[in-house]
Amino acid sequence: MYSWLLKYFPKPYALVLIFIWYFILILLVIYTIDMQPGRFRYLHW
Amino acid sequence: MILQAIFLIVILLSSPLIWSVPNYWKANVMAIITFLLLAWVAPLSVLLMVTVAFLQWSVWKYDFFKSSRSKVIVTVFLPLIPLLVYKWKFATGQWLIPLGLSYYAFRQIHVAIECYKAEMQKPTLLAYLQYLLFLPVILIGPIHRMPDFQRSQRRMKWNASLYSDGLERILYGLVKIDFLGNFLFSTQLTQIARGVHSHALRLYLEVIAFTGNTYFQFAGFSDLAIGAGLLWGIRVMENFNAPFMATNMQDFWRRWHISLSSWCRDYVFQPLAALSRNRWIALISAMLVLALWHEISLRYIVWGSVQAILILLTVNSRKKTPRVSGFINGHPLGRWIGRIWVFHLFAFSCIFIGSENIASLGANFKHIFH
Repeated sequence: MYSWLLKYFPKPYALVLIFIWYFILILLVIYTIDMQPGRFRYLHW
Repeated sequence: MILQAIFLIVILLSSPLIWSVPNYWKANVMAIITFLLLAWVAPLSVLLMVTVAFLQWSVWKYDFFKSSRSKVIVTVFLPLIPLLVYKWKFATGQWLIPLGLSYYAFRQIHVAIECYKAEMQKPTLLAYLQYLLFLPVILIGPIHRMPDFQRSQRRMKWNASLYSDGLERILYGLVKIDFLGNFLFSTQLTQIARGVHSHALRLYLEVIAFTGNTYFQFAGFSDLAIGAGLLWGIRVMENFNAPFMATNMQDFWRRWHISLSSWCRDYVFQPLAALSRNRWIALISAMLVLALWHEISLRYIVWGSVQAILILLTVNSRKKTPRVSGFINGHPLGRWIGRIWVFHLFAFSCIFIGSENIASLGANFKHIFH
């Protein structure tokens, strides 16, 4: 799925980019679940 | 969502067990886990599913009915009766629908018809229950097919990349449900719409928010089912194929809720087209079945009829205006015009299902043209 990244970046950099991408997605999910009404709202600052 | 989260956690935690037992036992273990979980959260649902499956299997196994036509009528009506009764009682506000009934009833009808057509062998009771008791697709589909399930079951082999694909698919599903659906379309866009003074623009934004949210919720839950299926080593069919990239309504219905639309094509449209020799009657009937599957109500009947009319108009316009149709399907600019047109057609047809009653429907349309 991410093989196209290898065309533009060496493997270690591509891996780092993929991990950053997953990190952003996981953060988005946690943040949007957390900010729904009635939730804990830990992430509100 | 809470139930889906429980199902996902159970699938994730039980996946090491599934992969550590011998191949022959894998499907049995999956069915047992599903049975126990369903018996805990929705005992009526599992009782109904197993009873109907047992009765269908008895009809196939023992010759209570001599002709194959009687057999297929009985085995189709066995799951159809509880489905219709519960849908009707739900529509009148009396009963709740047992968990996943709409999906497993259609799976049971699919198996009954495929056995009648001799497209697949009559399953053993164990194989049939293994197919029905598959946790990833219990809650929100897709209506996957039994031959595909059995093929996937035979080819089950540990594959780390498949497992990571499953985890990734679940992550994308959660992003679609929570961020794109709940947050962006449902919360943010609706808030923006509330601040707009113009009635028409407010309704337009609300319609976009409703359609976007519906798509991302549904596509997200399908992603969760496909991802969870991969964790257990079973490939589940795709349910959405970028529907808003379709350039006409016919193409749209090949991409939106594929498992249900292909079910209606195979088991309503094709038999009725063959019997009546009139594909328009077959198409309207198929779209009505598709609509009534969601809910037995007037608004869904109207919505299904509108979808059928839009498909009819698409097919007719292709014959009447081949140059326009060629531009829409062939030229890059035409394709984008087609995509925007299809999105708006579908979004505005959703006003019928978004309206609580005829009065609110009338008010909605009045606001558009006011």
